[in-house]
Amino acid sequence: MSVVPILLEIRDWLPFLYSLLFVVSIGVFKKHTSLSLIVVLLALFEFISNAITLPLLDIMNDKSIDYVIRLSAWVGFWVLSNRLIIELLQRAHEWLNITKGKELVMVQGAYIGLISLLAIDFINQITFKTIVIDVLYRFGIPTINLSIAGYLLFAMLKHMEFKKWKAQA
Amino acid sequence: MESTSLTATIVLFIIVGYALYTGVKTLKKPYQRLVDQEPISLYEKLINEGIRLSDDLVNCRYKLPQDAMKAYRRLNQWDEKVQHLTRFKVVQ
Repeated sequence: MSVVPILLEIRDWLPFLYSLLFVVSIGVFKKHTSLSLIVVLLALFEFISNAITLPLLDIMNDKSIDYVIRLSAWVGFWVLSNRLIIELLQRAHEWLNITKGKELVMVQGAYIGLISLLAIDFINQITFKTIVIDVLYRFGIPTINLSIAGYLLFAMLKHMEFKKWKAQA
Repeated sequence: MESTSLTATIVLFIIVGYALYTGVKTLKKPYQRLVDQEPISLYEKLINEGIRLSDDLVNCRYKLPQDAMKAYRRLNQWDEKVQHLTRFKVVQ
């Protein structure tokens, strides 16, 4: 189980990668694209979630409250914040009038995957307590986060080709 | 299970169901960039007209000489118009 801490360690560096991607994106494309918008919002979200995870865990470790209530508060918080980021990404595209592309669909799909994983783990924790689903959850959350970052990096490199200039009459 | 735990579980299930349902709905909602329909400026109109007239002149290659002469005259008129307008700083 020593892989999970490494994955979590890499995940803590994601907001910095996203910030770098944002700067490279606006530098290369010279305008706000769907990709730069997604990347900057994800960077903000990751910064905030990294900052509040530990204080929230301290509150949740209060043994005087029933375990199920603490667990549902924890899962509920993350489900709602993931739902919020899905909505925020969509709204930001509408506010800035940017076409919703494949990248946004993939990122939103990944966040829906995170919500499902949280729900599955919650059911497992209160009923079956299977080790398999627990391992799946522990691996799944950082893996999905890292795949979002990897996909966005790949998408940016794919778009970074030089296109012939065309006159637009 | 205590009643408070049961309530918390039910509330959580409602939250998860809501989040998944509306999340998938948001995921499927497309958004296409809206091109603003504001009127183009005089400068853009002149440029577009110039491009069109010079295209006309180039396309006269396999036409009768009279047509080419007409196109040439129209391009010259456009040129005069632009010169006139720029002299009085009408075009920004």
